[in-house]
Amino acid sequence: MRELLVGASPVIPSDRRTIAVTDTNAAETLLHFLRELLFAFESDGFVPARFEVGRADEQHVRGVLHGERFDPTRHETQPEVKAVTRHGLWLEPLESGWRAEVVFDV
Amino acid sequence: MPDDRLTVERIDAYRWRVPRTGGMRTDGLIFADTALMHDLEGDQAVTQVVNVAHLPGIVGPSIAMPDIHWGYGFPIGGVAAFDEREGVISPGGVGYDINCGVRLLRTPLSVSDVRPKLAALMDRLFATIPSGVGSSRSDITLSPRALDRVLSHGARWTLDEGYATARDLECIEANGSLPGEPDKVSDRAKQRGKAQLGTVGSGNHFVEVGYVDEVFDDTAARRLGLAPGTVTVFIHSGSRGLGYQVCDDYLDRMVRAAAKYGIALPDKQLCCAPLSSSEAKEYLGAMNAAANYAFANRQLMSHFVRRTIGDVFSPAVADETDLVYDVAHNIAKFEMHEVDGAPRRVCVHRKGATRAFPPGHPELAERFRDIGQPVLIPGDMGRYSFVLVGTPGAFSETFGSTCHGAGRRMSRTQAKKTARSRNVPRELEARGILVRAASRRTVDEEIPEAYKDVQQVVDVVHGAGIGKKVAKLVPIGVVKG
Repeated sequence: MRELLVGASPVIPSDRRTIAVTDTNAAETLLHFLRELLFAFESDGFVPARFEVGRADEQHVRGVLHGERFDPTRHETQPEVKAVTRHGLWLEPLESGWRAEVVFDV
Repeated sequence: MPDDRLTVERIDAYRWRVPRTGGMRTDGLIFADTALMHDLEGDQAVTQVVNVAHLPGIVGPSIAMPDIHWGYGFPIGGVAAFDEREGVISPGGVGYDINCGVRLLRTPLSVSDVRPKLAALMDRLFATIPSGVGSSRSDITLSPRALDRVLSHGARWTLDEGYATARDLECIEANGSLPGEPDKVSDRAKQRGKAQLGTVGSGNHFVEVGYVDEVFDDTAARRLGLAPGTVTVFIHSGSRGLGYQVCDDYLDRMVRAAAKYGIALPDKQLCCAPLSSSEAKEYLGAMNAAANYAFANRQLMSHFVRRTIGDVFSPAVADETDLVYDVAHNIAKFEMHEVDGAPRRVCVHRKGATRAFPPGHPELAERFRDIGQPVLIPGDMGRYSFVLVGTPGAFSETFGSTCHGAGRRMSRTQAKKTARSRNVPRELEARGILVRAASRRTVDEEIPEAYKDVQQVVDVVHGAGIGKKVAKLVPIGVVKG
């Protein structure tokens, strides 16, 4: 997601915000979570550096998002991400986490 | 053929039928020549034409224009009409960028007047019209009440605020104003849109300076002020973050609505609700509000284009810069059409398709009544674009619709790879086209060869009689996001 927003530009985790989403199943929860990241970028220019997970299960994701405000002198502008879509959305549990495929509308 | 499991029958040089089978409620009808059909190989777009044909209350065929390519749910380049009582509305049939559209301005300048000042003009346009991801304006701040007025009134708001003329509004589809309902638009959508009015955005959106290279229909071209050599400005943009968020919000609601009303969907992305339902009415109110935002957005950018032209040339030149037309190409609208010999009110979804009403249609302003509605078809940034007019053929066969652009033939990733070792702006400059862009990646992804040849697309709609060529425009300067 960070790469979609600013390419390979380094992001300094100097700021933080809490993210908490709840939804009906793992796929919808992931969709909801990614939409929160996109909204943070679109509304405040907040670029994510990393996410510190507090709680994550099929219906909840809660934690602290570390990042900083978009700075056009340091961050490479990318084509606009319009939305996180349900197209071909899938995810599967692994031994230590999840693997997912998500299509963004760019 | 695009998909081995699908039967696609050739009807004539420009038409292909996908016969009704299984759960389809109607045929698919694709406008394409052999080469464009070949381009669809491996694309899911034809399957999407078939999927749309499954939806309840569809009237006439599930239609695809020659610039068809894969989209979210419905194909881009798709047209589908639904009966007002038995049919549905689907946000996937409109798209994320509600009322993404194009407008064309004509200046009193010739290309030889502009060439010596082209670099200055492009620099000023790039500085005056914010482009790129998350672009915003600091000179236009909208209070929540003002934003609601934009959502209610569209381009009429720009007239009230001094950013438009009465003539401008006559030259916009639906006069730039649909019955928008701001209270159906979420706070989150309003937050995404509050600082973006008057900005072009990113991706395939642009402001392009060009000139009339060739005229095919003298009468229509003269009426539209498009004499050979006339310098023009194309603006391609939509409802920005506000529209994307409206689509997202209502996709969620429509997934639940489809289940609630027992609508069987071949693809979840076609989620929809019966047109008579509260969910559909609320989506229509919100979609119209987002469409109004887009009309106001393009009008505001026109204001800043005129101001820039005034600064670089003279105020008199700015005053004589007229709007040719403004069309939506992502929208759903109630319209009257003749179906099986009787007039019927239907909800026409145009996703990557342009309204193309014929001469004499009562919705057209007097100035267009005898030539038909202008239709604007942008191409890629290296070749050409076209102006067409609507035809009786489009009205009878495609619910008054035609194509909307070139259509991608390369994915963004492929295009980026192709452009990696090249300097695309320099290549274009060598061909007389100056590019100003917020992001190199956007320019790489938008290389001319990433698109189909728009001439091929336009020749199909002209040949099939669902659009009539008026003029060809050639670019000399492009602002990209």
